[in-house]
Amino acid sequence: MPLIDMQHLNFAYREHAVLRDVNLQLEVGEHLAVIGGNGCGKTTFGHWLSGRLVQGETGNSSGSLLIDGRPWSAFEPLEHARTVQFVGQLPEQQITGLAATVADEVAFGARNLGLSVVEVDRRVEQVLRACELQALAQANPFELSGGELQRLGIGAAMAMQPKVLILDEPGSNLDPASRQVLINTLRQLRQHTTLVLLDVCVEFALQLATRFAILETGQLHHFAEPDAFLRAADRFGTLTGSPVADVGLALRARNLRAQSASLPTTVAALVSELKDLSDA
Amino acid sequence: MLEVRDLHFAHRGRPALFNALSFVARPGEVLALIGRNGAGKSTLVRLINGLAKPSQGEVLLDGDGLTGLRADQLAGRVATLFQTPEQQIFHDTVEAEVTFGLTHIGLDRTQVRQRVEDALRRTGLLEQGHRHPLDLDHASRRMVAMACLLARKPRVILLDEPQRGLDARMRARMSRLIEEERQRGAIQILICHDMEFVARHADDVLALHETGPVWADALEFFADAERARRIGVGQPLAIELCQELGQPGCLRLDEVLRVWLG
Repeated sequence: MPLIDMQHLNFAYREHAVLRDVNLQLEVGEHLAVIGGNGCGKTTFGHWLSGRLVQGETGNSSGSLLIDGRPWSAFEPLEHARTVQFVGQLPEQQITGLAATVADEVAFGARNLGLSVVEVDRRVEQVLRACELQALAQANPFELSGGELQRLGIGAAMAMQPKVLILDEPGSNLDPASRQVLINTLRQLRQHTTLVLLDVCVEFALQLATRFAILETGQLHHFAEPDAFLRAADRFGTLTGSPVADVGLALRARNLRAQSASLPTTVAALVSELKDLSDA
Repeated sequence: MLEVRDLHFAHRGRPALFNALSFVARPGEVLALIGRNGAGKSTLVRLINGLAKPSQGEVLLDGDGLTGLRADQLAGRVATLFQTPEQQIFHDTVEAEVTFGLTHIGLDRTQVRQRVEDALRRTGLLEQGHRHPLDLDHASRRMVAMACLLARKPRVILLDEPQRGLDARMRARMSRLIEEERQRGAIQILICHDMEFVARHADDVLALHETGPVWADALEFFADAERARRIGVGQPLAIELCQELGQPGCLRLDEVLRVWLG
């Protein structure tokens, strides 16, 4: 039985259809990247997965979503929080407002799971280190920069060690070095946590995902391999965040590379290809 | 010319962010403000737009001090696109939002209507004028904030992560707007974590780092791979390719390919 089983989900805001016949089965430990253009419904999709929109309570919806074989409506709040955490695009909306320090903010959710003090402290220390927040442990969350706040939101969700972690544009506020640190941290989750990345940009997807999907006109198109995914993203006009792949596509457009050849995903591969082209 | 002269600032209880920071930006120039999270980029923007006050030093526009001006005096000269557009939107239609900034500044109705229409057209919002800004997706909300800014035709434009969360189509539109404003002669300061976007637009960069600020020509700055890595921003792909391929430095990918492939 898959951890997440979404079948024929349709959803509309009033008359505006957002999700059309969406199907998704995700197993424990899979990392799925869902890429799409602005306004395509990624966040709405994430809200469905995370149980923020619940079948039977939300109008204009049909289909089914089961988590571990049960609908979200059957989950108690505590079990729901242990199962899924959703970190949204706006980090200032993520913090609780009930914690005076960054360390307290990270501890807040974990404490509410009823964990021992020792376990909460262990998780706080681990998360502060993983998210480069040690130096800010005693800072007021409301005095952080946008990027620091985004790391805090993600860290607080990680401290709850949910089965499913859904991140909506996780790198959007981060400087390049912090983005790579976060990617490395999320990579370590692979075996324990099912990760869903929602993004306009393919940078995190290419480094983290084991499966890829593009949300376009309400439909979810699935891809097992990054190359097919990148080509489709380019076809849909949504590709952004991979300048290396962009150059590969530009070369293809000039008929300088075989249509069937895999797109480069690293600078080294691109340099090698350019040198070969020059020699030829 | 925008001149920041001998600026000092520290957040309460924190070490000094700026110690005698000075730089200039000229009409038609895009200055990229880069650095790690928390380096002080957004704070510097707030010191320029008057939302924060330096403990010492001043900000001058064409020789006139901006530091002591009231918000309404500053608003016609300096406009800001904040990171979170929801925090600068408060009317219930897109058109009313864009119109608001043009009232009481001496324009007649026809001029106001023309400016609003022009700003909505340039930002792709002409068909969305009747909609509530907060019913739009996040990228379109940013364009609403951008339309408000453009309609005012400010001398100085402060852009805090304008490309954040935009898909390829919307990024292209934002890029076009930045270049159009360059042509108009606006002074633009661009906070950006995306070095490809920086490479595309910046003439100069001001990199903020705990070891001290670096103000340099963009090409010269990014040519030093070790410094770019140490500051935590990395290099744009075009420069990286130039160095790997032994070509002269260049910030434009299309130019690199043209030279290399002929």
